[in-house]
Amino acid sequence: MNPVAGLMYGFGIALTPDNVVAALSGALLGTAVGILPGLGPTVVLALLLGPTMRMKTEAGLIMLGAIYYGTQYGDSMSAILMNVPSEAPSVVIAIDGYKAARRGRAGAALSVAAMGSFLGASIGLVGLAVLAGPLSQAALAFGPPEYFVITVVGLLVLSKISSTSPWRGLTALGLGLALTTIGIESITGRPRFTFGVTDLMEGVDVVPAVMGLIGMAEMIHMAAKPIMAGEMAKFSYREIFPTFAEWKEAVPASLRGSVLGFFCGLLPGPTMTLATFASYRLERLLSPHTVGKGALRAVAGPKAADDGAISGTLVPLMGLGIPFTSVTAVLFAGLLLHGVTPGPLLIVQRPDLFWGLVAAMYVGNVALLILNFPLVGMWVSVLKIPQSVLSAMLVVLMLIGAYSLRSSVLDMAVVIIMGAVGYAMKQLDYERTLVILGLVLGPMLETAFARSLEMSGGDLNIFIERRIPQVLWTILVAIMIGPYVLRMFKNTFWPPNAHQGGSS
Amino acid sequence: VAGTDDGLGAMKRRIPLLASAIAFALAVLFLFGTREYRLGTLARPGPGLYPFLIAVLLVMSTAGSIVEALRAKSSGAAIEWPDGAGWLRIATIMIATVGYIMLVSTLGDLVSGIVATLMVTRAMGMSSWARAGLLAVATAIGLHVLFSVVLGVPLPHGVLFG
Repeated sequence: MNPVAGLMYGFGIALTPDNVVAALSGALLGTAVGILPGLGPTVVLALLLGPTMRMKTEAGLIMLGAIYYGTQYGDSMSAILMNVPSEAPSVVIAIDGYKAARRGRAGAALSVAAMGSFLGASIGLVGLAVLAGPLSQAALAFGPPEYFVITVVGLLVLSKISSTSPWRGLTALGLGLALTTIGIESITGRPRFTFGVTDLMEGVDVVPAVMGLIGMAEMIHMAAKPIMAGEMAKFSYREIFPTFAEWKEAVPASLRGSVLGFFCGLLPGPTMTLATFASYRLERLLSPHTVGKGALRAVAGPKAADDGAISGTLVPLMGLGIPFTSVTAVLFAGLLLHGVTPGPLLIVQRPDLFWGLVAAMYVGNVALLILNFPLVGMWVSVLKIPQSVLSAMLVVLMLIGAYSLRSSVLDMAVVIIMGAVGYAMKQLDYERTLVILGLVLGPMLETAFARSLEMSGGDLNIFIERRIPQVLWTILVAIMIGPYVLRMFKNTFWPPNAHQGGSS
Repeated sequence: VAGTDDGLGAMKRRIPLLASAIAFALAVLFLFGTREYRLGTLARPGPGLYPFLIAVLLVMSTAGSIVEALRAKSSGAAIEWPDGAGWLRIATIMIATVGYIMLVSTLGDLVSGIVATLMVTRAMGMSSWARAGLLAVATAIGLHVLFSVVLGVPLPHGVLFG
C-alpha cells in the first residue's frame, strides 16, 4: 500500500464517530494532565495507559496517539505560562515563551506554539508515512542476529550519548535489562528470580515501573523541594492572535523546525531535546538580536521541531519495532498492552492498525489545534491547582492506575520501589530513560540472542559476519572512539599552546 | 573550606562513591544469583546465560562507577539534598503509599484512598484539615468512579465492605 492510499485508508478508520471521540478525548486528556507542573509526556502517557486498555483496540490506540501529542502540547503550555517545563524540549520553549508571556504576549505565544506543533506533526507524519513502509520492507529481511545487533548497538550508543558518564549509563541500562530477567523465561519457560512469589511469574510490568521511575520519583522530588514556579503570566483572549509580523516570522521558523525535528527524530538518543535545541540555535543564528528576548519564532520553531521529532521517533518504532526514546518505549508498552507488536510485520499484516494510528495522530493534532484555542482559559485555571492537591491526587492515581493493569497489588509496590530508586537515580545523575529502554527491549534482546545462537549452532561469528551487523558495529566503534581519535589528532597537529606562541 | 569542613559535609561528598559501592554489591549478588540457573551451551543457551551476561555487564559498569567516583572525590558536593522538612515530606509520602497498599485489600480503595490523600495533602502544605479532608473524599470518590464505574476495573472493596 503506498503512503497516499495508506493514509486515505487510515482516515477511513480514524474518522468513524467512535474513533473521533477517542481522538478528541485523548487530546484533551493528554493536554489536561501534561500541563500539570512536573509531569512530562513519558509519565503522563504511562499514567493514562490504564484507561485506554479497556477500550476497543482501534479506539484505544487512537486515544493513545492523541494523548501522546496532547501531553507534549500541555507541557509547553506550562513552560510558556509559568516557566515550569517538565521535560528538556520544553525548557527551550520556555526561554522565549515565558519572556513573551511576561510582556503580555502569552496568548500569541500559545497560538504560535499550537501552530508550530500542528505543522511539525503534519510534516513529521507525512515523513513517517513515507519512510516507515520502505523501512519495514527492508526490515522484513532482518533475522534475529540483525535485531540483536541493532538493539545492542542502539542501546550502547544511547548509554554513551545520553548519560554524563558511560559507566553510569551502562549501569542504568543493565538495571533495566536485569529487571526483565524476572519472571518466566520465554525460551525454556522456567521461572527466574521469582522467589516463590506467584505475581512475579509474569515479570515486572513496564508501565508501573515507568510510573514509579519517572512519576513517583517526580512526586518525591517535588516533596523534597517544592517547585518554585515563575509568576503566572497574565492571559487575555484579546491578544490570542499573533500580529501579521509575528506570523511572518513564526511560520517559516515552524517549517524549518518541522523538517529539522523530523530528521533529528530518526536518530537514537534524546532526539526531541536535540531537535528543539538545534531549532533554537538556528533561529538565534538567523535573528541574534531578537531571539532570547521573547521572540515568537523561538517558540514556534522549537515547538515544531519537538513535534516533528516525535513523528521521526515513530519511524524506527513502527518500521523496526525498536523504540529509542523513553516516550516511544512507553508507547511501545501501550501497543503491546493492546496486543499490537510494532515492527515490520505490523504494516504488512495489520495495515488497518498502522495506517489508522498514523491517521489518528493527525486527527489528534487537528483536535488539539481546534480545541486548544477556545480552551486556553480552562488550561490556565488547571495550572492554578495548588501543588499539595496535585501531588495527593497524582500519587493515588498512580497507585490505582498501576493496580488497574493486572489487578495486582505487586504492581503498586513496584511503583513505590521504583519511585525511590528513580529519585536516587535522579539525584545521582543516572539516566532513567536507559532503565526504561532496557526494560522494554530486554525480552526482545534475549530472544534474538538465543535464536541467533541456535541458528548458528553456537557460533558467535553470526553477530559479525553478516553485512548489516558489520555496518552497525563500525558505526558503534566510530561513535565510541571517534571523539578520542579526533582529540588526539587535534592535539598532535594543533597543540593547545601552539596558538599562544608560548613554550611549555 | 577545608577548615570548616564537618563530618556530614565530607560524607555528602562521598555519596556517589557509596551509591556506586552499593550498586556494585548488588551486581555481585545478582551474579551469584544467576548460578541458580543452568548456563547451557552457546548452541543451546540455558535460562541462566542471559542473566549471567547482564550480571557481568553490571559488575563491570558499577566497578567503573566506583573508580570514577574515587577519581572525582568531591563529585557529591554539587548534589542538592532535601533539608529536614523535605525528608519529613518524603517520609510521609512513602508511609502514605506503603500504608495504602497494605490497607487496600482490607479497607478497600475508598477508605485507603481518603487516608493516603489526606496524608499527602497535609504533608505538602495544605494547612486546613477541613479542606484537606474534603479534597481527600472528593479524590477517592472521583478516582473510584473513573476506574470502577466508567472503566470497569474491579477495584478492591475491602473485606469490611464485602
